Amino acid sequence: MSRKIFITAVALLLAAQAHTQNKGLFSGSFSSASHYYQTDRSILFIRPNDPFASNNILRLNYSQGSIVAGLQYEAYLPPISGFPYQLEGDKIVYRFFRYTKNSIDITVGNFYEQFGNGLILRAYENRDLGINNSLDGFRVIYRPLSFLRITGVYGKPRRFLENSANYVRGVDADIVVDTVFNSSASLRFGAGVVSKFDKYTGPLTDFPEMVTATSVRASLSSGSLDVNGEYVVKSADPSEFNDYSHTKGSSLLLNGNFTKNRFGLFFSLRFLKQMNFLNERESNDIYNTINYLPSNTRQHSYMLTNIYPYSTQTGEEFSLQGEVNYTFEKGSAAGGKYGTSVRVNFSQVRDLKATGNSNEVSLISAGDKLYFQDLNIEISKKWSNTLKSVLTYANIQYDKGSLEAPVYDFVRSNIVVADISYKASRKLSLRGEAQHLWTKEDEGNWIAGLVEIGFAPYLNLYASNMVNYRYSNKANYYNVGLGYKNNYVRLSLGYGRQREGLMCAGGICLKVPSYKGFNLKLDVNF
Amino acid sequence: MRKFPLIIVFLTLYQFCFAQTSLPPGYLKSLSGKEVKILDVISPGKPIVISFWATWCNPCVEELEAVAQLYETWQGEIDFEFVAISIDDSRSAAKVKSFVQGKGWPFKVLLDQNQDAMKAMNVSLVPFTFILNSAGVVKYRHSGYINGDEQTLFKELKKISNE
Repeated sequence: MSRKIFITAVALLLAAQAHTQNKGLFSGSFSSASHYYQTDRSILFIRPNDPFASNNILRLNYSQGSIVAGLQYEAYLPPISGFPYQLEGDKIVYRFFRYTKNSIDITVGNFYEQFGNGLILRAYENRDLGINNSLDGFRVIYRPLSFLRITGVYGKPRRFLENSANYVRGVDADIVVDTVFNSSASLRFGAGVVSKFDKYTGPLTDFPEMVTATSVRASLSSGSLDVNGEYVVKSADPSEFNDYSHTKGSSLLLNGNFTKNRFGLFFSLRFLKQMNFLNERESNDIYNTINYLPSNTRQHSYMLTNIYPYSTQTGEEFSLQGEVNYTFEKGSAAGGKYGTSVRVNFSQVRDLKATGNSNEVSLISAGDKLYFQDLNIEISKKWSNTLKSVLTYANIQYDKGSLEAPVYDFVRSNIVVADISYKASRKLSLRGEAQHLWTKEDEGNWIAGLVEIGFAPYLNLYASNMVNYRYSNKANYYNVGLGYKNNYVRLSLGYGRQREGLMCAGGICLKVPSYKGFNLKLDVNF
Repeated sequence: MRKFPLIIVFLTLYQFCFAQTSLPPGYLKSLSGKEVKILDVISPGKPIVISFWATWCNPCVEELEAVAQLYETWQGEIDFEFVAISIDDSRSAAKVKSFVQGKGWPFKVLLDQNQDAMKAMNVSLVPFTFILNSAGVVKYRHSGYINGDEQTLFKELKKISNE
């Protein structure tokens, strides 16, 4: 295998070397994140024997006409805090050859893919959390007519640095009706099916080794209104994580937008029942999923609005979300000279309602148990050519007892964040964040702040701190650092404490441990 | 075989000075969810600015807000195209349209829901901005956003449009 990889890599590099003589293009990127740990008993962190950890990813792409080829080499020496220990080592984990001409698009090797909204299949990479379930096999995308796309995939999902033993296969198609009738409104239909075969060697009889998920979807887009819907059924998928239940999975997702001049309304409704679709039934972790079920809530960006992030309950869940974005016009009373933007978002997540038949729940229902609720308002205002502000208020309710462990409370919190930027000159800027979280439950109140100095376009320096002040032995989660960037490189060096808790990126949350130490990040794009 | 990674890194660094990035083949989605061929909607012939962003990324939104404020003035000086490519995945991709319309941004916004174009252009974090010349080759790039970066972007854009 190593020999094959070596030959692939050398061929790719030789091709890159030759590109000056032809019209081929060579490009790539290198990302590195390293930690150096220090023991800190106040946050219950003991440094590991080897205090150094480093994640490194090198990606190379070569394209010439209809052909694109590439590879990704990863080295975890060992993986940094929060990443799975199984990643330790190095390997070319991704290599592909893609041919695209007219209506045909063929990939051999590794590829990423998503069917519909990802409810039945999403092979993707999330470098912040160490997720990569790219498929290794082949994919064919065929567009025989301008209104029809058919995709077929067959491959083994990546699991850490290896491939899983199980194959995943799927077919998906999309039909766009507007091209046929040439009307201003467009109608799209889609359907997909994905299956995996997972050999069972246990004592149970009548055990389904093949699990299939099927999706149908439709979208209507007409000027200012868009509505999308997707319905999924999944065959019985017993495992120890659902008490070997033979209940079929299902899901319904509805979302849409209504937009008008500087006004945008978004709404979303999702029902989930037994939708955990794992490639290997014995491993219930986020690195082993075939489908993608992100939380139907707003992803926050500030320190304290992320103390209680929600993570999807794939067993049974009802969620709804609504959001309004509006910009008051420049010159109006509320808009001032530069306009004022307002964003109001609401989300709520509950369990599903029992049907009366003890263990059964009804898919289209909302139960009495509130898992999570978030109401947040954000006002962005530019006051002058030099001063801008973003004010955020959030009321977050989080059932920590049901979502993490029964010993915890149901948390009701209120958070206020003021984010102010000041441009002192064409190059020098200052930014400050002041944040406070109030709650009588769990760890009590938090206070946080951040100061950042920017020297455009190259340098920025920052210092931040967050502290929970209910307890006398309070720990300050401080961080200081600087960043440098130019046309090709982005480099940042930081030092500080990371709080234990849920880290969320791209809709998936992962519990990460605390640590203290230095961190160095390098990103090169060429 | 353990030296293999080092060989790769060395050769890559050697190739560094010859590297060139351009628009990838493939498809993105319009705000109404329709698949569009990248090379059809982002046609070369004039300088193009491509900015990868996401609704949950504060610096991305800050940068695009700054560009939106200056967009008209810039267009008066240079003939260029600005395309903001959202990498929001299915958690937030459906709300990009209402977000963008609510902001009233004047430039084109497309969706790269499974981050295919982002990967093809070797982008690993957002915000990430490219300027392509009229032949479609990347001539300038920057990642992250520091207040005032938009001025450098415009300066580079002018330089590239005069080439």
